[in-house]
Amino acid sequence: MPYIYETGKVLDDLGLVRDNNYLVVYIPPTNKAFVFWVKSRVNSSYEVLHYGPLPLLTSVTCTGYTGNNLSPPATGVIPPMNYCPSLLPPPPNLIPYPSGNLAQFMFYYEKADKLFQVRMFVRPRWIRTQIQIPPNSNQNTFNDNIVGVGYSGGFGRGYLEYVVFPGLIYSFLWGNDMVYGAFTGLDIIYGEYNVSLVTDPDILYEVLTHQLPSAWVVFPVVRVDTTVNDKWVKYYGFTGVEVPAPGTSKQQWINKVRGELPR
Amino acid sequence: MEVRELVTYIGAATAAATSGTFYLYANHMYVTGSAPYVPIPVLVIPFGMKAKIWRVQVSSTAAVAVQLQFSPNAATYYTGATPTWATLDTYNLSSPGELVIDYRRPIVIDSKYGTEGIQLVFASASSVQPTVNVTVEFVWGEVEE
Repeated sequence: MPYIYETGKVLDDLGLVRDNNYLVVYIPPTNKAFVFWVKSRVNSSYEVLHYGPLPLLTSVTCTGYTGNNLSPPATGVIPPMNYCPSLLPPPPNLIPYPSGNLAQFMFYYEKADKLFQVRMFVRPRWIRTQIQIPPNSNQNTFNDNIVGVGYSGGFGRGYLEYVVFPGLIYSFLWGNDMVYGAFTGLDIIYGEYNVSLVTDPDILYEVLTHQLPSAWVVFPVVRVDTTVNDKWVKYYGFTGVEVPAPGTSKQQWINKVRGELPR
Repeated sequence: MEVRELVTYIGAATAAATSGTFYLYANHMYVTGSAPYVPIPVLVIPFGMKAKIWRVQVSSTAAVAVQLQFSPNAATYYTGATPTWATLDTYNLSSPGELVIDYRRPIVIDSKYGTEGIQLVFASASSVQPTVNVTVEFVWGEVEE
């Protein structure tokens, strides 16, 4: 299954949203969504960023799959049969003096009219991947049970895709179930978009019922943490609009959601 | 999502001998010489992945027979046990030189339990220090319906 899918020709060859299209971020636990009008891409023609090694620090103790907890022996090296947490600070020489939240998460920002879409390609490709929003919050589940990189299922390998909301920091878990330690690498394809949050109920209805072309990204959480909820309210004024069930008439839906939309 | 990683392992014997195991190294492998960061004699395939062996190259200064061996419990090597090995293929180099086998269809090792793995061993009438070069494709998410 793709992490992002589209109705109409909305995505380009890099998997990013073309200019002047709609991007829907769907929130599964609440059946709500944010719809953004992607007006333009700031980083047109330089969407690919080679991050370098994964930001695995030697000061971190990882967790062994067979009980042998190891620390990365060098920055960016993942020890054998272990999984390790990390943030995603900017890579060296990208930003002169990152500080505060930006020093922890390279895609951190505080604007309602910006949005990052991020695709991460990890090498070696067998590295288990998991995103945590907010940091250290394990949100991967199977049948209501926590799973993830430290379990036998509930993780990806070599790939992550997500949208970054303003004011939030994300963290990651990386797992190496190979019997040797490995140098790692991370390539990122990202879109830094100038966006407008769509609040017009007519457009929202047509996008959410697929009458207007759009790209859909699923926000990878099973519950909305208070931190996340607070940032949505702070920057957007609401926590998303309910997605109409198939067959719901526009008027019926508008009557239902009108009070929830920011003015 | 299906992901693939193509890795070339270079295997060398630790010393000249009439038989032995190849210790595998790859350019992304972190090796310091101190355990656990050393070349590996046994390659265990990560849980749920497939390893496709596409190419094997054997080089030696004397005749040598190299075997590619499989074990369903290869992971036990790393807990101090002795896995049971079965030979998947043999590469007989009858004189000094090199032998390249490019498989048209790869040898596929399916890691059903996460314990399956391979090793490469050699035997020779004279003391030799051969090398091997093995190209393995790791595949995740290749589900056959």
